[in-house]
Amino acid sequence: MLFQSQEFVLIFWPLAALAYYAVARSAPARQNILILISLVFYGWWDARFIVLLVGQISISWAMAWLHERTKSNAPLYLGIVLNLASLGTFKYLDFLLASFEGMTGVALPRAHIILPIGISFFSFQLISYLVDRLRNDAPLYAFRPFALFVMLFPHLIAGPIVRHNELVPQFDEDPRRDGMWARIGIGLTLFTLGFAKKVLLADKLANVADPLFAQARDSVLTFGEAWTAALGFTFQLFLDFSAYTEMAIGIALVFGLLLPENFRRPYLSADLREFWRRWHISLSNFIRDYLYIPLGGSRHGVGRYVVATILTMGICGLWHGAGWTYVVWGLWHGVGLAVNRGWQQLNRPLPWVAAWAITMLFVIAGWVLFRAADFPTAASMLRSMAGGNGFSGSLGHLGLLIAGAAASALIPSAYEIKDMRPILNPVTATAMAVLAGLCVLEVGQGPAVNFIYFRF
Amino acid sequence: MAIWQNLFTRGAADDAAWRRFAVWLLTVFGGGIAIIYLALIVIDPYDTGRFPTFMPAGIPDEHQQVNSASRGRNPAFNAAIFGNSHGQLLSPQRLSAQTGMRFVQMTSPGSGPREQLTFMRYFLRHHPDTQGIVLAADERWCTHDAALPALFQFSPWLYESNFQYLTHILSTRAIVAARKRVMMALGKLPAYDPAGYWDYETGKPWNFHPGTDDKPLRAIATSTDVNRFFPALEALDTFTATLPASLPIVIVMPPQSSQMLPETGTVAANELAVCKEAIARRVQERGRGVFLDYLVDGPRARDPQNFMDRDHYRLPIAREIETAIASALRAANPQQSPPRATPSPPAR
Repeated sequence: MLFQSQEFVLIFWPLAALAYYAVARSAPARQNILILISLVFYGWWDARFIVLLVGQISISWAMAWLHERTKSNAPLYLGIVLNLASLGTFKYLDFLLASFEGMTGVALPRAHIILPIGISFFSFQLISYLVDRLRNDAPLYAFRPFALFVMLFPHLIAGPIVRHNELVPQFDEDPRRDGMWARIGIGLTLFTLGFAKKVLLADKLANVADPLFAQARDSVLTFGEAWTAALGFTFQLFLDFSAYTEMAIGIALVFGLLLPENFRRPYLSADLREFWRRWHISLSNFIRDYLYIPLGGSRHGVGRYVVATILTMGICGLWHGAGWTYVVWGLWHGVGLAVNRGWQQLNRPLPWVAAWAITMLFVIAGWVLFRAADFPTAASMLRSMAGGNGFSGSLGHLGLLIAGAAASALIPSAYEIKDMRPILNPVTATAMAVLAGLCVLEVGQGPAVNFIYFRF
Repeated sequence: MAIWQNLFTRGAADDAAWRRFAVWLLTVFGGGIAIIYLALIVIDPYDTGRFPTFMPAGIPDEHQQVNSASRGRNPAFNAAIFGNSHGQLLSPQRLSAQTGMRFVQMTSPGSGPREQLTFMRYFLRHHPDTQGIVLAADERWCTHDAALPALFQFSPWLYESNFQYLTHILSTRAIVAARKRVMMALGKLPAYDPAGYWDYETGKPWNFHPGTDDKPLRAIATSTDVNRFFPALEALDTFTATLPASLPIVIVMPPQSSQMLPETGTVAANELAVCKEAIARRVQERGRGVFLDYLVDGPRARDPQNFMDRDHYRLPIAREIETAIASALRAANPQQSPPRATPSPPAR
């Protein structure tokens, strides 16, 4: 079930909220209800994978419990390995087999395993908890709140990647406490704005970018076509993913829970480090705390810093997808970050516009690599974008691209909206209601388009 | 204080304002959606006749993917033509005149077996007394893809259960269709031809110049070891098994210009031959109908004058096919002698 579907907006979410508030006075009851709702939500995709989700949660909790009882770290390491093994099997097995076959020429049968939706996200959350236990940074939670922290449906499928200490303590808070209506009102507003971004902009940009990227597999795009595709996907990806996050944060707020922010207008960044502080913030923080810093970070010399940065970003790329283009995209950003740091240490700041332009060109080039079906397609598109095949053609769908650019730059982030003091009157409420209604009618046109990050 | 604790505690007055805002938003949203939904049920924008309505019959929409729901339930008809644009030029009026049946055009451009089977089931559900079925089955019926994906914009929920209809009707497109239907009811828009005939040739200048095809005649190849799995034909078997044994079915494989035909000896040619054999065998076994194979090379396929483009024939060819169909349907009439297999009509 997608957030941007009629069955979710008109049936599932209202019923879930009613059931939740009906038992709100009891913390165990409302946790039970949320767990049940989350299982129904996840099972709607594919009921078979409920076993996997519950299994990974249960095993991870059991390892934490064993660690608590025995004071041995072995169960925690085992839990981390098992989570990685699950992720590796479901997501990377065929990729590894194909890569091995490519390198050795030895033909291997493929497993054709269906990727359980959300596995990248909930596996990382479980691993982060187990690592925090190793660091004595995490208590042993009771099983119910622990399970709920992982499977809470607003963030289950595509994040934000929530830390246990950000969410579990909130389960004790009565959702009817002071500020309830502010949370509900802001939640509805955030959801509506995200809904509109997804349905009225991101999906339309997909119709621009997808055909051109498909065309690029078989033929050379013109300069105009290549830039149309690249810009279309650049804005589509951000609007799509940030829309999902806003909807997730909005849904959670209606239940009285606050999820962490994930975007902060990243396309206004003037350098790559700033970009990664504004883009997919929960993932950036995760890889910083659980990969980059343990690998040495910036505190052990330049060499170690470069290795840690590039390796971390390479793994970040691999997390996004089982494909070498994703890995190279990650490495591209790793090298970029290292060069960025080196430049900053020269202390020769560029004018903001120049710095922004260079950053955006770098990011857009990376998105071409990220989105292209394979390296030859990416190379062909980048060559066209650089004028290597001439400068023919013009930007297509200019109005939509401008709308995408404006939305990316001007629409406040979820947390900025959350902290605003909007004008609360029937006019603004009606405007939000009409916008939400338009979106509901728009998604009724046909099958809903998945969020891009659902495939990661 | 944790981040979620120092937020939203802005005082009772602020919370009251948010409450009014949220309640107003939910009321306008919920009320608006409910009103629109009920209006769509009552107006019945696609004339599906599922629920009581005050609207007159017919719809002003020329798109066959949606107006088939109206045509397909019209009690004025008792026979139908199915297929895609390769069967579109077959005139229901002419077939009606030649057979005594009352034909409706149920073809849908761009459609494939999945959509066409949906239309057939829909028509038969509304017409248990159906007298004849004509299926213009092009090469898409020879697919090996068991999923039988929908090939064009298609709204299966229009033709399925009331539950499917009720859970899919709420859309911008339905509102536009409802508005048009109201305009039709007010006399400001004409209803679309209930027989559904749309002639893609009349009014268009002929301009098909494919160049001379000087290759040897593409022969129907002897069947060799090829993929004999035709899931569309198996789905057709499931459908025809539900039909009365006396109901005649004429399956036509429409003509295309010779350049569209696979070269002799290729896998494509062999598979097409095997597919045709499979269709002919099914018709033979059913015993009430005929298979008319026009997808062959010869003078007809090589004359550009016979086609608007590579795969759409012109009116004279359509008339020829109609005559053959009518003859087959008359021959399959229960009052007459048992039908015999009809060989492919001679090429012009």
